[in-house]
Amino acid sequence: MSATIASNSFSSAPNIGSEELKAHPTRFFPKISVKPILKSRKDNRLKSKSTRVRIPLQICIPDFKVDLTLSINELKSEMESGEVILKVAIDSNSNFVLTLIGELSRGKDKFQIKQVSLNIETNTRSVRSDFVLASLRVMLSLAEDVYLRIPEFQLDLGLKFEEPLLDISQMLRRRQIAYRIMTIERATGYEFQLPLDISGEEVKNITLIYYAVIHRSFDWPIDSITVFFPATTEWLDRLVFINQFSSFTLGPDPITKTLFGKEIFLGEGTVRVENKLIENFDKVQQELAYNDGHPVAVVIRSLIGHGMYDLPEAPRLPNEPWDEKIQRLVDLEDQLDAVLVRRYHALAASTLEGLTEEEKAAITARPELNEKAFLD
Amino acid sequence: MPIGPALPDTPLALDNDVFTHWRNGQSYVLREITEHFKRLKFTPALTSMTIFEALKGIEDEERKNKITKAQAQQYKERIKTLSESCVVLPFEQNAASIAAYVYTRLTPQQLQRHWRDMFIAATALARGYGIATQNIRDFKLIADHLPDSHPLLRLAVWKP
Repeated sequence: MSATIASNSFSSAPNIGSEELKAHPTRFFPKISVKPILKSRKDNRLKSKSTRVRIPLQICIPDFKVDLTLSINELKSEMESGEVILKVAIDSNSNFVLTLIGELSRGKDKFQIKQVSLNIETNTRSVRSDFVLASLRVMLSLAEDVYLRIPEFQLDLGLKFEEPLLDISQMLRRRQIAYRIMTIERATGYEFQLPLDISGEEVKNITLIYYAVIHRSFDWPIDSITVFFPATTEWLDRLVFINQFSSFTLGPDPITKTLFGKEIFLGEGTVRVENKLIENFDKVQQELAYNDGHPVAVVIRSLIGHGMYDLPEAPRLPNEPWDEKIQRLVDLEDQLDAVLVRRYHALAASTLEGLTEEEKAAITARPELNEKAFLD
Repeated sequence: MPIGPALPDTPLALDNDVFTHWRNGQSYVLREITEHFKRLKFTPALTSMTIFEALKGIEDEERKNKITKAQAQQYKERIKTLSESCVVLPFEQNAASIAAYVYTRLTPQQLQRHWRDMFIAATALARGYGIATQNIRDFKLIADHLPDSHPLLRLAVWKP
């Protein structure tokens, strides 16, 4: 095959919010802090007690049927100054850091909790951990009720975390990206160390490779591809033949994509350019007619920015790719999406709430300018 | 043909009519926004022009004494909360360049009808977004006059 894709010849339109991601780069391992509203003050009096490690803490999120028992491995008690900090191990690299703010009772035997804040601390670069942390974080943010219990201290807190919808949405996006990388890891056998930031370009590559693994044939934004034909009469005839059709298919050729510095072979595949136009067709014809074998660049443009990949040999996921813990989190996706999008719909509806149909029509009427406004 | 289809991963911005229908709870918009959210994990973006239109409507009604000052404040706060919860695309340098290019190529009659959509299209294009609209024809006219730097406007046609 003497036609090849120039390495920089795919100039696809921005996708999957790459511009949005540039504005809010996907940062891995940040400290995340939310301040919950205490829903229940029942039994929230922490008894002043000597500290020791390995105290069990139960987290219950009924909306998502989650019951976790984790271990407090560090307790910093400064009750006199109104603060108790608990470090709770999520896994070997990550902790919840719960800060209980309150005051000691008069008898100084009980700590009355008034506010709770929660951070997630992690030093892991593993995708799996990031997926778990992002999933937990989203669940905590979306749940109507979160219960924290420390039986050792007879502590039982009912909490509701309040967080901006956009922040939750970004955490869901991060969870989606982590899931896609995890899928690529599982299909290829690679293990990636996540960088601190993931660029829009990397997100695009993650999506393409993920689609190759999951869908094999998929739509993709393609403005143009550049191929090189040798200047021979045979390739001149081929150019004229190609020009009769509304689409152009390149390949099958071996297709490789790079992700976090690792090359991922997606097998032999084709790329189809829909509604194609061969740029400078007459000039390209003249070049090929020289018949001296020199390479001639042929730019094939999609007039609608639409291409299609067909990668039947791309790596595959095994039949049961995830252990039980991960599978449970994966299965939550529809529920998490539904809860958040319902809040968005309610928020949009609130902007016209309480108005009659007539008032709604008036308040949403578009501004008008007369034609004179646009005369020179 | 300077318009193209919005592909499954194309992030979208809402045109004003679709935004109004979202605020009115029309089921086709709720369905499409839910699907957009499932794919991308964020709602379609709002442009600064769309927010201007929403706020201008409130200001008008307050000025005409159709709603009280307190009501106006309440509705403005709600628009603010909604816009802070969504990605808002600003009308910045790139958008201004695209809009200036298109503006000078439309007739006064076309501008009178399409100036608002032109600002929405320029803002979305500048950030690589497509537009969710009910009316492909309005945006096609704008797309026919795009600069070479941004030759393709991606549209998703949402219908009840």
